Amino acid sequence: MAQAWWRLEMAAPPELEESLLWKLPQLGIHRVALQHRPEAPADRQLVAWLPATDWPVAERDSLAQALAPLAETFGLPLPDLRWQEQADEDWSLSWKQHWQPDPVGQRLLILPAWLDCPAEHSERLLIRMDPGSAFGTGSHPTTRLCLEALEQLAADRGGALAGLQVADLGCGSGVLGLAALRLGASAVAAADTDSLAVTATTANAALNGLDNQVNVALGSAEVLADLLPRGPADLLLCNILAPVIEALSPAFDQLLAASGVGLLSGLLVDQAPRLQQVLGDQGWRADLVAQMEPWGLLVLHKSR
Amino acid sequence: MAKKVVAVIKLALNAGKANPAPPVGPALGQHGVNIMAFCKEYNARTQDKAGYVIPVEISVFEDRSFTFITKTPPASVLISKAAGIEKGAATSSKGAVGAISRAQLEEIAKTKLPDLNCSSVDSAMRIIEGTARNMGVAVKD
Repeated sequence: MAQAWWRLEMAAPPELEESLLWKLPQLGIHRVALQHRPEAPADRQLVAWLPATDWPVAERDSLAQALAPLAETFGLPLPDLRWQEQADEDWSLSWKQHWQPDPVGQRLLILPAWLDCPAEHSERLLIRMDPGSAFGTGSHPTTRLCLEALEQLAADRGGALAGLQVADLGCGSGVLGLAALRLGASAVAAADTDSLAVTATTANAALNGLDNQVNVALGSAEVLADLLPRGPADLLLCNILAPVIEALSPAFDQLLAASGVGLLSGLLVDQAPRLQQVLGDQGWRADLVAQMEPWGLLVLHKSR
Repeated sequence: MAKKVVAVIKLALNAGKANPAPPVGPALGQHGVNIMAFCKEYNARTQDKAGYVIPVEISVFEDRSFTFITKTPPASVLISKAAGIEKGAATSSKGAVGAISRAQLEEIAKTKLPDLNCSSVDSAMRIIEGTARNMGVAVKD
């Protein structure tokens, strides 16, 4: 494929960033990104893409001269400009190479929406997902802990979650509820405080032909309780962070029947003891049954 | 759910016009982010601001899902607006194309403070003043 771009990368000190964002478009450089690791916000890198045909070597060499005065204003040296050839590609498709069929546990397969099910996984239960802006693509340890726990729960019940009504609190992409349905649950009520998650859960339910079994709404525990027509659910799924689970725990009585089971994840293993104590004080027994470092999964039952 | 951010990417995009070409495609695609979903959501959120550059900051999570927030306009836009000029100087003829007052400088610094990666209004003012000087806009006391 013909090389089509020069990729320019340089450090962008905080003082210089806004001046660079002003100057580069003036020089005809409009395709600019600034990126940093979350733990190092001051260590920003500027990356720009320049059409190769418009930027022969003489033009590229003159760019440093054009930018140097911007740094001088702040008494800084101009950071090094690093150039790299980059071939053109269809970026609307190439991101998909990061996504592959993802077998989980013994029975489930998370399949990106655009792929066919590989023959070697044809016996698995399919959950089709269109990955996007809602968390829960299946690859995160906490999602996997929950999915594997759902499988185990089904195995304990003779292979299926037959007839169970499920409540999914903080549903994200909807993957956990959809897995429960694939394992035999009868209906899922789901809620999330993020509207993008509500949209994603709705879309993913439709993608799997399960939209008539999923009822999703924007909101937290009270909204979810209103979605449970037969009262508290048989199975509660809650994969959020430990402090959020703790804050929501007083509502669990409205969400989970006394005879039901809850799967709680999103907590670090060392956060489990506190959460177990808080839940214990509210009449729940929470057992740490699975770990995927540093994450843990609690199974919740009403204390006898 | 248990979200951990692995990368933060800021792009200056034309409102309503995001597409998979650079910078969006390569900047986000390297992290496996759904490019079309991002473009669709950015365009939907910014279509009523056509004609403006609306910077956006995208956080990519461990599982390649993402979220984004739109940011304050570039400092150069705020400086140009305050100085009543179209844009900054084409060359580095500093002080040549316009001026803003120190009060305007402080107002811009306060507006931009959340996005400037600095901790005080004073340091934000120094950044904005330097940006203005680079643009050929003087700051008058």
